[in-house]
Amino acid sequence: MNEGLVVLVRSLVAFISLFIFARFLGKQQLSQLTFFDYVLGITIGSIAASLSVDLSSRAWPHWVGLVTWTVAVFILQWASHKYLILDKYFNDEPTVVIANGKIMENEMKKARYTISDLLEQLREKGVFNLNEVAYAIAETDGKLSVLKKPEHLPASRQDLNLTIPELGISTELIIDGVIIKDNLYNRNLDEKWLDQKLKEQGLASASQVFFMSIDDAGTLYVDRYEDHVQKPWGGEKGK
Amino acid sequence: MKKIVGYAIPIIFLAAFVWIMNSGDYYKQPRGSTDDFELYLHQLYTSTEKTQWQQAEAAYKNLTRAWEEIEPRIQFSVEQDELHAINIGLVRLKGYLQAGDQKDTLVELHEIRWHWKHLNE
Repeated sequence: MNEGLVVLVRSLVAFISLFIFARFLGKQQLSQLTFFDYVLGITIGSIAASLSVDLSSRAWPHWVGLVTWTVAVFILQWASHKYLILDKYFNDEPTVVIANGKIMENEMKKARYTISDLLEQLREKGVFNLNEVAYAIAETDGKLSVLKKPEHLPASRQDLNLTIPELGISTELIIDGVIIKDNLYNRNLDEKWLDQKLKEQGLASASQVFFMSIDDAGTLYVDRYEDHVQKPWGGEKGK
Repeated sequence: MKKIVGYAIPIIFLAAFVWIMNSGDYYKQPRGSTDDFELYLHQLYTSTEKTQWQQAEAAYKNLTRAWEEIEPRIQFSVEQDELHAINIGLVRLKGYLQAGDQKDTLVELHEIRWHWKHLNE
């Protein structure tokens, strides 16, 4: 028996199966995962690892386990999407931990969310003074959403009665020295125009450019390979 | 068409994996005249019962040759421990045959047959 070969074949089976099942389960972002989703992911990964290298048992039972867990997660996802009540039951609800500037101790206790967690997550949001907070909500994925009191919110353009032209979405023209021709043509521009702009920037060709984009206002962003930036700690010039 | 291919490829892969992982019983069956493990096991059993040691030796040689052919075919779908148990059983069997030990040979043959039957379970 060639153990290396068996592990190779079983690893390929595990890898491709996991890939297919992950695609089947959809595009939920890692940042949106609840604690339970996270545990499910670890369990499925652990079963796949056993399928790959645990030669003391057949591959089949491990694979059946993998399929069972995937189907269970799929059913959970499907039911959560279909029925709001089940979604609340499975994924829990966000917890209001600060309401009208007051800390909701009882709600925090129910969610086993400590004051240290709250202060840490507020600091991560740039809030160092509880007096600034009107509402804070602990989301199901463990993140904290914060609404500051009106007097602590930054002034918006509307508050200042300012009209600033929209920059719009920028379009990449050069990435890693390569001209993205489709984007150029979509903007009704051509390579002649690009050469002209490169010359204006003192560049001989696109190969000297790491990244170049243009926004709706026609403003260019150009980053060269040669940055010539002095490092703040006085080291060599950056490249 | 693109959608059909998108579904067909993973289904083909998964079906192939299910086959690989459950192909043990199929690949245990003889493919030619030299890899009929059950036949040689039976011959060895009969020869041992009759204490015909020369025939038993010949059946043992056939049995080990058959096993060497079968083992690579089934290694992806069976437990390594079961393969190991059969390999150890065959080595022990050689010793018992050399010693002309009928009782231990029969015990070992029964054990090998049990492992053989439960290879893909």
